[in-house]
Amino acid sequence: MIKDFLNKTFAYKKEDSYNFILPKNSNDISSDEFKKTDTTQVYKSLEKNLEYLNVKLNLLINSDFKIRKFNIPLKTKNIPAFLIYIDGMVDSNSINNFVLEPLFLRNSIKMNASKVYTQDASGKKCIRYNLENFLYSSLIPQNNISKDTKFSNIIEKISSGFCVLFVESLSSAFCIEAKGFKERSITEPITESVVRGAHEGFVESLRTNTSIIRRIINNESLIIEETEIGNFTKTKVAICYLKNITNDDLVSEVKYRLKNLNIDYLISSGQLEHFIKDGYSSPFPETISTERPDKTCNYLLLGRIVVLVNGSPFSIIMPSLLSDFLTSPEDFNLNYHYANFLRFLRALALVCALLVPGLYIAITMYHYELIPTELLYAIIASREAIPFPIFFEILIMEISFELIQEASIRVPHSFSTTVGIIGALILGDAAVSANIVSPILIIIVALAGTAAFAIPDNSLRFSIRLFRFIYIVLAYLAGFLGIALGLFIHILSISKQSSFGVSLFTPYIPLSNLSKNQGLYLNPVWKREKRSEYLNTKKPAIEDKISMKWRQNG
Amino acid sequence: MDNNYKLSKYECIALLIVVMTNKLILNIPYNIIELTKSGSIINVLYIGLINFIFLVIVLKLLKPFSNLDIIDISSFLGGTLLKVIISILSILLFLLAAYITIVDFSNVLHTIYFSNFDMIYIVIFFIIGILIANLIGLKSIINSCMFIVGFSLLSILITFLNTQTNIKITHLTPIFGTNIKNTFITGLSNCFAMYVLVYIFFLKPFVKNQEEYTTLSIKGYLISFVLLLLTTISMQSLFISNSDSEPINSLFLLARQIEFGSFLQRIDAIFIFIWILSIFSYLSVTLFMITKIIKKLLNIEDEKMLSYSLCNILLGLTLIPINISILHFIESTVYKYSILIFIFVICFITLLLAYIKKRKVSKNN
Repeated sequence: MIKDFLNKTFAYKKEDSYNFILPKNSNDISSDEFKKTDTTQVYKSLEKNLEYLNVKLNLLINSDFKIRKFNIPLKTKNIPAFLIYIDGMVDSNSINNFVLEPLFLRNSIKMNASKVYTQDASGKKCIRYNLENFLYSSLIPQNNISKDTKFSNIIEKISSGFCVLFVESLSSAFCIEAKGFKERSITEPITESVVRGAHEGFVESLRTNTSIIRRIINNESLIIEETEIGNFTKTKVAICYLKNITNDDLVSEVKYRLKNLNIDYLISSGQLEHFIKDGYSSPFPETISTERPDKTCNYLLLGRIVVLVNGSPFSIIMPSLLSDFLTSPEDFNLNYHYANFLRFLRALALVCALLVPGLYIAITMYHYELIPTELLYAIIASREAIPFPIFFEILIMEISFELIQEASIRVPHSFSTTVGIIGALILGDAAVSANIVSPILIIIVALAGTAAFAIPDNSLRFSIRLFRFIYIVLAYLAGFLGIALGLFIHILSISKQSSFGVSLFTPYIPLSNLSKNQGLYLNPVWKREKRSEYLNTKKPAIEDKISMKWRQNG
Repeated sequence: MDNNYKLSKYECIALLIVVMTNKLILNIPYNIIELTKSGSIINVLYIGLINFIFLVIVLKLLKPFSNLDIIDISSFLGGTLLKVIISILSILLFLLAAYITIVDFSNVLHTIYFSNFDMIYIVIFFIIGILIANLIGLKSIINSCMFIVGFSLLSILITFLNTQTNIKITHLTPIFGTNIKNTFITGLSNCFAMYVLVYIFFLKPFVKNQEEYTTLSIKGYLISFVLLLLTTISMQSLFISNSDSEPINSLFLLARQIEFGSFLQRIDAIFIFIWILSIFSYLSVTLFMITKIIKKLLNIEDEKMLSYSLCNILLGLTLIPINISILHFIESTVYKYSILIFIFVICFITLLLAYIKKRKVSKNN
């Protein structure tokens, strides 16, 4: 009894809760530290090189770095060497067949070709072999091989899927391309499907994407410049433009912005888009983002600039206008009558998605004389049993709709249909039956939601969805006065915005020559004679005044 | 703020039309009809012609003063003292115009839609709008004018076309009004209706191409005149018979007559919506002009703080309790004669004397 008491009182008890707190004082490393390039050169001693890489690449901790040590058997002696690469990023067959095998087996065949006669210290004539040249030109049958002396470059190459060969007594290393990582194959674009048009989309690999563009444009004027962004990730970014068409100042501006980004990492094109836009705080998009190569090439040919980011299946097109966000790649495949009708519908959808819920509140709360008496009675009757004010009613429905939309995107594809059905049909119906919302409100929310889906650009759609709530609040506060205030400020802020120096409302505000600038209205294909004036391209003409020569010849 | 922005030809014309449209929304045609009764159309044509001649003379006098407005011209003529006097008068006139616009239109909205709210509640919306517009800058204000002007014009044209079915010839006769003196002598005071003339004295430094200033001013004036004429014709057909009491807003009452089939029976709310946008643009332009004049007068660097201060002053002014009859008096008498004196006496004489001085100077050189 006493023993138990003493044990309970004084004995050590293990704490049963585990609490980890991140220490606040960390050793801050400034981003400039990362920007400092390592200038260390490759040592002649293989051991030293290995030691350096061990430290630099944390080879004792990193499990995916592989080192293969071996000897290159030459005529007179064996020369120690090692090969370093990242497992999973290289093709084992390439390394085995085209790097290791020649080094092990074929090295004696052409050794004589690299014979050099020199004199030693005593003046005696002797034979020396130029090992570096011999390895480079005769022993490694790879198409992409380079010699590098700086460790910074070598490490970069290793990270991008090269295997690097270090050889004793050589002050340079051989970077051999043996990339072999798995990548997604070209598939149909998920976010921008069309009926009549190409069914291939961009993938995550930058090189595949550039090759698709080059294949479509097929002209030597196409320039694909590469740069790296991110002190940590050194993400490859390609700037594509047509040398003979695109305005030089525009190209310089894009390059200037891209090359002046001091960031640690860049993962996607969406991230980059925000780093290079003019109005950094605006929720309105300023660049077109697409995963369609045909759309990308179309804009390239019109004199725009395209930026591709390695690891992202979306290209960024700049500069862009408001009308571009309402354009679908389908438009260019259709008869211009249909295309313009669809564009008009999309513009209407933009207005509906933005204003319909707000207008409903404004009309039912302040301006009810606008609607016919019968309809007004119907609305009042449908709201009779609803306990909430109209403002909360619409907020509940709008937030529910947004939740359903978000959930159906996030859940696995197999569940998204179920979520849609549960959300839209069951919840909607149940909400009406339970007298939480009125049936007419379901129509309003559904109309606004459906209209938003008709907007082709995803970024614009997000912007509209966000602003819809602001208009709802403003309409609740002051009806049309509130909406007018919102619209006025919205117009002011968008008209202030520009995309790489081009106003988003171009060519309508400021009013410029509509015949020389492509706006929302799409001309028939034989009348698309000029590139837009606002782009100030080097080659304004797209086609001859009479493009269909066959008509004249006949 | 991108306030060094220069206006293109279209932008300048749009600005003049927005200014005029707002005067039409705020009962100016009704004031004309009130004075000249059935002779209003003749009177509008008459004042239109006189103002046009005046405009041509003013443009001729303005020609040697490239990139200069009336403030700079007054400085050239009479030094700092005259510049200060003209600046203060201009600021007062623009403030009065903004004050009348806000109070008058808020009053209309209060009566029609927001009778449960205080006037200040409505006024705050306008103040917020114009403050943000001025913080964003001239380019955006002009772009908003460009966006809104089309809708404003459309609203006035629809109103005019709709009233054509209601026009009775008896409302238009006698064509010279109650008497010739009333139409042509007393009615001369209706020259204030062409308020765009005020802006002719101030817009020149903002225009991109100085050579175009004469043509764009004339175009802007002519469109404004046509709008005034159309609105007067429409209103005359409606209000001539019962002009004893002033309607809450004459153009609104005209819009109420519009019917599109049985579904859209009362689309006046849509018109009000368009006019609110138009008022926002006009007030933003007015506040911008005041800011510019004060900046010129006091050499102020930061225009942002000035916009805040001016909006506070405007809000303070609108808080002064005022009844409709006093407002009507300010609008139809104080404001009317202020404009007339400012345009036809102060600005014109300053400009004329400056022109003579300029010629003398250039002759001596």
